This record gives sequence, structure tokens and C-alpha cells, in this order.
Amino acid sequence: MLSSLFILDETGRSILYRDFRGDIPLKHVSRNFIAHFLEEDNCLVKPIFIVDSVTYVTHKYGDMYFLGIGHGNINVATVMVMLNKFVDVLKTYFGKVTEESVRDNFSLVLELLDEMVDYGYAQTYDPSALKAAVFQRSHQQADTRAMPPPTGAVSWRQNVPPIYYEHNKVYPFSANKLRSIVQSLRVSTFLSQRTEQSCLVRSKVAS
Amino acid sequence: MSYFNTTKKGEIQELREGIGSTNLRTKKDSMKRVIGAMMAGTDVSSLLASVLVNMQTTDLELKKLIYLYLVNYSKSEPELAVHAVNSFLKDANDTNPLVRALALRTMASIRIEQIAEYMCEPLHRCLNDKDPYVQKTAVLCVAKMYDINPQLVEDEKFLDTLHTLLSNGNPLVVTNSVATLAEIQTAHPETTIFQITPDILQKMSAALSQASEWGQITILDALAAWYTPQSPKEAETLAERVSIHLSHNNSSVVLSSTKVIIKLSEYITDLNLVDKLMKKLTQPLVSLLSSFPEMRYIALRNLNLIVQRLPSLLVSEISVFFCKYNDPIYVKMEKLEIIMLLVNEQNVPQVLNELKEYATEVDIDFVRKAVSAIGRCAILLPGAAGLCVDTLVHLIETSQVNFVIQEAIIVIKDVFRRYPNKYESIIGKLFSKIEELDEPEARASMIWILGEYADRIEGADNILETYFLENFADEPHIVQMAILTASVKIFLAIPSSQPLVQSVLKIATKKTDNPDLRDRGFIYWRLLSVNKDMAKAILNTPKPPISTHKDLVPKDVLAELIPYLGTLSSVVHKVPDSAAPTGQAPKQTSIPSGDFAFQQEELVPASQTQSYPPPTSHNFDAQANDEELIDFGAFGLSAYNTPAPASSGIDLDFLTGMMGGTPAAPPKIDYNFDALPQLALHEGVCVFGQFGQLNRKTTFFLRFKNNSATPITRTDFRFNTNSFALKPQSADLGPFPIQPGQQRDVAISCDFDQSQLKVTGPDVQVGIQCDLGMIMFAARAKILSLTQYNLAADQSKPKASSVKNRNATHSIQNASNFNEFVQRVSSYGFVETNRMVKDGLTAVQLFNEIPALNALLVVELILKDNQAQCVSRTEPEYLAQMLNEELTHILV
Repeated sequence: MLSSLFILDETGRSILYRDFRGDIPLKHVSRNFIAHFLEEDNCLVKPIFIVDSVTYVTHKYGDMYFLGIGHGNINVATVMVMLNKFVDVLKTYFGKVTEESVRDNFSLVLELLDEMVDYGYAQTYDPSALKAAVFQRSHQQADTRAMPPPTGAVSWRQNVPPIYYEHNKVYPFSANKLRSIVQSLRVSTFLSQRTEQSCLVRSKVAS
Repeated sequence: MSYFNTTKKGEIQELREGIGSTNLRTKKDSMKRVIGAMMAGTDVSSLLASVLVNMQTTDLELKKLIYLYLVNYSKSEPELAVHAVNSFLKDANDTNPLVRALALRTMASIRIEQIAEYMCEPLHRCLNDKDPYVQKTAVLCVAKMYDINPQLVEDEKFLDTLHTLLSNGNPLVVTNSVATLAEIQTAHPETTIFQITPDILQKMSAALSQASEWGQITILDALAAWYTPQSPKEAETLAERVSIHLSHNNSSVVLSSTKVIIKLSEYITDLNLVDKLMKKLTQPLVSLLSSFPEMRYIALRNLNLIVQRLPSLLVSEISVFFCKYNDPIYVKMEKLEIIMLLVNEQNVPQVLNELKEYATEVDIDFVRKAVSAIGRCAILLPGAAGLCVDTLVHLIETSQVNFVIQEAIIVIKDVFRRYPNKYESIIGKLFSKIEELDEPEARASMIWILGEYADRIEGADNILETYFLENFADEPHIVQMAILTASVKIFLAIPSSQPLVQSVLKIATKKTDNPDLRDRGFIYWRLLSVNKDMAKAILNTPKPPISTHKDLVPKDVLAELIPYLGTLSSVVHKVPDSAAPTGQAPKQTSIPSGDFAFQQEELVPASQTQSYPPPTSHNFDAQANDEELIDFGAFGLSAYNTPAPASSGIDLDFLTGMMGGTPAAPPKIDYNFDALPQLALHEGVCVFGQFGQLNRKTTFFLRFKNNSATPITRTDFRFNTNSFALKPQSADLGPFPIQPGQQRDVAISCDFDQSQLKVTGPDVQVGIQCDLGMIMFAARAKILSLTQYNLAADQSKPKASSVKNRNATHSIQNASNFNEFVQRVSSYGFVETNRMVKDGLTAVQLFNEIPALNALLVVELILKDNQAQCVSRTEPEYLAQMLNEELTHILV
């Protein structure tokens, strides 16, 4: 059955994994995934592929890949459904399943997996049953989007006179600790009024 | 907490302090960071001791983190991990069922044998725990334990406990028991651990209705794999029961139910009931296509099998397989496959419309497959062939896209083969696009059409000459072959095109180094010169019908695959043993095992059947690893370690001189070494070589090129036992060293040695042992280099007449210089033993022998009516083929 489950980021790097059976060395999983899935010819990409007699079952969700690997003639349909429903469970916990929310809650994700899957066999995916066994709470991501201004230009710094910068500037500063899991991104902004911005951070540092 | 403390040592130290903190919060935070580091691939195994200290914590969250850490790292330090046993045992006795289960689960996941032994006692207790959560966890621990130490499980009779648990009231306990038993049975097919008796069947089917979706899959999979109904009635009841689960929204449950029902239906005798059951499958199977894309792919691969098995099931549903614009490419490809399985005379117009749409999409491979599918429809359905051909012609005329046209032409070739003499009217339209063809297969197809219908295409010879002949040498192999065949066909249809066919045959036989092309050229040439009618009969022989479905799974394999629906087998369409070996995972090696297996696969048949491999360029490196495959006789690997025998060079003055120690430049040998074919490439060493003659002695000419970074300081040169009793006189390629970048040309004189004689084939296997290991390759020997030069004509005459077998005859095109042919043969030491001139017929008999092989060679050259012929006779017969080939070379 399912031997290990990985959550990989867009570039194929492992965000977290859980080894259920310990029968497959995990060292090259991420590398094989990149070589045989991400960098494969478009027409040859299959969601299920075999490398060194290890079967890879992939499920893309958002900008992440959920990857199950197993050995022998495993029931790939079951593994695929397990991956899909795993995402559903994560949704009930974090609302929105993104790379960020998974990283923020990685120990909760691992604890959930521990209850949901044992030795590669799906145990219970029922949220109420899971709540009885898993006590950690999720860090819900606050909704960071700026509220749309009700009437147009209203400064949110109501008590101070409006600030105008001659040049709008953003200074990001990113710090990585322990490779990639603990990250911080600090941004100093010099922006006039109420500007809505989106910020996309991609990490593609070779480890 | 500082974010800037980046030295690794500092980090680990910081974490160690955090874990050792008295504050629970800090502890937990640090532990989370440890796990985080573990996930990122940082080695935090050095913290094992500090983590173990905290095992007794009462905080469940912290405990889980610690256990997770232990599962990962205890293997690296088993001695230390054993210290955790006491805590595990204590936790396995905890009042909280969650803790009991967690301790047991973790303990079993630490795959250390000593720990397994400690586990027996708590496992017994937990299997009979009053809390089902603990029980179901304990059940899977039996599977984990069986993997570590099967004997222990047998001794402790855990499997008996599992069998009793099959009647447990909790469905999860039952299904985990089934899963465990099934897993052990699969891994050890020789045992009879899990057999579905009527009693067990009763329990399983009772659990089926209560179990979770995952439990249902487990039970259904077990039924599909091991259950055989005892009576039709039993099958009916169970099929009825299983059919309820077909409407589940879990796709995997649907697939597992389907395979059980299909399997059971084979045992049901009431055909009406079977029909009803099969009808129930249709809707659930169709619903699989509305799940997420990756699942759709699995479903389609499975449906492909089901459709092949039960074609009537989904034939009315063909439209659900039509591609949507946002389907991923892998889904589209699979849908197309199934459409092709379901297409029939009724729905073909609808399908053709779809396929025409697909031909305008952007994915090249999908478009090509769609175009090719139109042709396949034509081949498949005679009634719709006209419609399909019209569609293809429409595509060729209107499409702006080059590869659509090419693919259409490739498939039209198949249509022509399927329906000869029916659609030739479109040929003109095809030729209007002739300049756009740049892919080998499309060009080859066009040329095939040209040759096949040469009699109906005006100026076929001109077309061939203008469009395809110019760059003959640069064309890919498949096109060259097509041109060769087409030119002959054209010649047979239009006799005036003789210059064309002659020039093609000349290029094919003389200016090419591809043996296939050359041999085919020779065959056609002789065929044409001997008997044109026969050539016509052979070339225009009725072709075998082309297969309509390329990718159908054979019937017996199909039957075997049905019980595996949903598994990897059903996706790769291979029976389990060949899909992926079960058992332990392979050791990770730097060499991908697939490639290696491929090499062996390619080479084994050649050596097993002792067939004659093509000359030169045969890679023996892979075989060298497998001593069984090569009989090197006295030429075993150990022979290489013994010092080389001192050279007794009779004709090798230059070599003995070199070995005397004067590192002079090798003497000039009168031979063109640049023309030698390459035989081997090993670790940067390039070996060129070929047999020939030097001073009338059999000689192996060798160029040894050191492109590696290592200087070569010693070599040993040997032949394997061979058909010609050849043995090299020298084993040394000195003077040494041969520096990187240098090359060495040597002529190695060969002796006959009866102990080396073993009839194998025309090749001599050669081995060169040097600093970089053994280089092995095969070199084609030459009969004409083994011949004698001092024969007396009168002694030879009776010998010549004793050879009876007439081995080969071939005619010589240009008969005017007949005497030159005689000269050429004589130059190899042949003596004239007979000459007859009578009634415009001249016959010359030439003779030579190879005493070491007891071989007699007779060549007769006959000139009659300005037609020259060459007949060769040999004894023993195995030399005939070779002599014939070599004669061809010197005479043509």
C-alpha cells in the first residue's frame, strides 16, 4: 500500500513528508519527481509513473503536489482518492490549503496524517473522528486582503495627515532559518495612501 | 530567538537547549522546529539523546512530536533507541486509549528487531483491548511485525488472534484484520494464511455494509483476489450485495466493486441476471469521468480494459469520452484510445466530427493521434472508409499545419494497404504536398505509395528522382530502404526507368555501410538479374492484412487483469509480476536499473541462439559481466593475470624489436589504418581493427587509441576460441606507456592453434586487458586472409574435385573483364586446377585450402554468352556463407 506521502511545492521540493512503511528510501523521491514529472515532455507526463520499481501517484492541488509512493502492485485508485480526500480534510482545518498554510501548520498536518493513515492503510478521514484524536489547532491565516474602500480615496491613517511619497518603494527582506521551513519576510513600505499590492514569493534555492 | 544565527552548530545547540527547557511551551516550540528541520532534510539525529529524556511527558502533543522524531531517527542509533522501550511499554499501559495506541503504533514503526521482541506482550494485550481504537491499531502492528520478524508472529500465534478478530463488532477492526491478512498472503503467496472460507466470507460481507469507504475497498480487493464462489447461487447473492456499493462517490470503491462483480458474473449461470448486473455497471463507470483529472486518468485506463472485455457496456455512451478543452493531455490521449475502441458504423460520423475538431488543437501529439485515429476508423470500418478518406483528404487540402499533413499521409498508406485499388484517385492530391514532407516516416510512406502504384502514377520514376534521390546518403535508414524498394517496383512497372534503379542499387550496395540496406540491395540486384518475373512475384506478393487495433491487450492477459482493476497493473496494463516486483524496495544505486536490464535483454538472445551477429560494433562489455553467457574457455578472466607468453615473432620483427626495450617509434606498416572500422569503446579507449593479410600471413590490424586520462602501461591481447583456430602471436601492444591522446597502430600476426578451434560463428571475440580493465569486442574474420599461397596445382586437383557441396552461385554484372576476375581470385593464393573452353563457354576452377581447419575452397568462374557466373563450394559448410560474401566483395 501507500508507503510515504509527500507534499511538494511548485518546483518539486518537499515541504513535508510522512513515511508510513519505511520500505522505500526517500532520498531521491523529490529528485525523481522533478525529473519524471515536472521536467518530462508535456505529452509523456502521466499522473502515475514508475521509477526504479517505485510507483509515484501525483495529485496537483493549487500550487502544490501531493505525492504518494508505494511499492508493488498497489491500488493506485485508492491512493489517488486518499490524496484527494486528504486535501479535503486540510480544507476543513485551514479553510484555504496553500503552501503557506501547510508550512505554518506542518506539525498539525503530520499529526493528522498519523491518524488518517496507518502503515499505508487509510483509517479515518471523518473530520469529527479526527477531532477526537487530534488536539492541535490550526493557525488560520487572517484574511489579509485590504477591504475595498467604500467610497474611493479614504486614508486609513485617519488621525494623521495623508502621507505622500515621491516614489513608492517596497524593501523586502527575507530571512531563512533551518533551510526552508522557518522563513520570515519583512517588508518596509513607503507607499502613498491605500495601495493594494500582491506579493509572490518563490523560493528556488538549491539545498 | 535570533534569526541571524546561521551556523549549524549554533542551531542544533539552540534546539538542544530548547528541548531541555523546563517551560513546556519552549519545549514544544523547539520540538516543532526539530521536526521542521527534519522535513527540510537537515540531519538532526544528534539530538536523539536529548529527545529521549522527554519521552515521559504527559503532554500528548509533545509526545506525538517526540514519537514522530523517534520513528525517523532511531534506526541510525539502535542502541540508544532501545532505551525508549521502557517508556513505550509504560505508555502502552496508559489509561488513555489514544496514548496506548500511539505508543504501540510508534513502537511497531521503529523497525528494529530487539524492539519487536519487547512488543509481543503489549501487542497481545492491545489486540484484546476493550477500546476498538487501540484494537484496530494493534491489528496493523501485526503486519508491521510480520515484516520485521515473521517467525515471531507465527510463534506468538498473532495470526490466529486476527482470525478471531474478523468477527469483531467494530468494522474498522475487521477491515484492518482483513488488510493485514491479505497483505501477508500477498507477500507470501506460498502460505495459506488467508483463505476465504464460507465462514470468513459471511463475516466479510457483514462488515462490508458497515465499513468506511476505505474498509470497503480492502474487503472488495480481498474478495477479487482470493474468493472463488462455490455455487452460482453464492455468486448471485454476493454480486447483489456488492452492487449496492457501485453508487459510492469514492471512485476507488466503484472500481473495486466493478471488478468483484465482473469476476462473480463468470460464475453466474442465469444469463438474464448477468445482463442485469452488467447494466448496473454502466452509470457508475460513466460517473468516474466526472472526478478530478488524475482520477479520471486512472478511471480511463481501467475503462479501457473494461471496454475491451465488455464492449457492449459503454458503446452507447461514447459521447462521454469526447474530450473537453480543459482536459489534461494525458486524459485526452486516453479518451481517444477508448473512442477508437467504441467506434462503429453507427456512431462513426459523430466520431469523425470530433476527430476533425481535435486536429485543430494545439498539442502536437494529440493532434497527430487524432489524425491517425481517422485512418484507423477507415481501416476498422469498411462501410465508413470512404467517409474517413474524404476527411483525411479534406485535412490534407485545408490544413496549414505541416505535421497534420504528414500524419495523414502516414495513415493513408495504411488505408491503401487495407483497401488495395480502391482510393487511388486521391493520390494526385497527396503528391501536391510532396514538398512539405520532412519527417522520415511520412517520406517513407509517400515513397511506398509511389512504388506501389507506380503503374498508375505518371512519371513515378521522375518524382522519385526529383524529390527523394538527391540526398539519398543523408536520408534516415527507413527512407533509404523505402527508396530502394520503390525504385525496384517502379522499374518493374516502368522498364524504361532502368538507369534509375541501377543508380539506386549501386549506391545501396557500394556507398553505404548499413548492412541491412546493402543486403537488401544485393538481393534485389540478383533477383533482377536472374529472373525479372520472379522479382515481380516476390515484390508484388499479397501483403498480410494489417492489424486494425495496435494496442489491444491479449485476451488471456485481459482476463488476468480484471481482478486487478484499480491497481497499478490496470494502469500500466501488465500482469502484476511484470508490472513491479513485490517484496523489498530496491537498493538505490547510481545506475538506473532499467537501463541495465535493457542491455541484457538485447544481448542475451544473440548469444543464446548462436546466431551470427552483424560484423563489428558489437558491444560485449555488458556480456562480460555474465560469465555464463560467454564461453571464453581458456580465455577466462584469470588467464589475464598470468604473464603474457614471450613472443616468438616470426614475421613480427618489428614487434620483437620493440619488446626488446627500445622505445622507438613503431615501424611503418604498409596498411591504411585510417580505414579500420571502430570495434569498441571502453572508458575512453577506442579500438579499431579488422583481419587482413600482411606478407601473406593472417594478421589482425589494430589501432588502439587512448582517449582516456590514464596512460596505458600494459596490455594483453587474446582471442576467444573461434571458428578458425586463430591465435595471436603477440599479446602486447608495446612500447609503453601509451600516453593519453596517443594512438598505437599494430599488425598482430596470427597463428593457427587447434586448441583454439570451436565452431561459433564468423566473428572472433577479442579481448584486450589493459590498465582500464578488459575491453571486449568481436571482429569479423576473413576466409580470404587464411588462405595458402604455396599450393601445387597437381596436388590440388583431386582435392578440388572431392568437394561436392555447391554452396552459392551469383552472377557478375560486368562480364567483359572475365580474366580480371580470375586474376583477383588467384591473388589470394588460389591455384587454377581446371580450365575448360568449349562452345563459347569458359569455365575456370580455382582451389585453395586451409589445412588448420581441414577446409577446402573451390571457386568456379564461368563465362557463357557474355554472362559471368561465380560458383563457390566449400568444406566444411560453415565457411560457405562467409566465402560467398567475401567473393561478392572482390568480384562486384
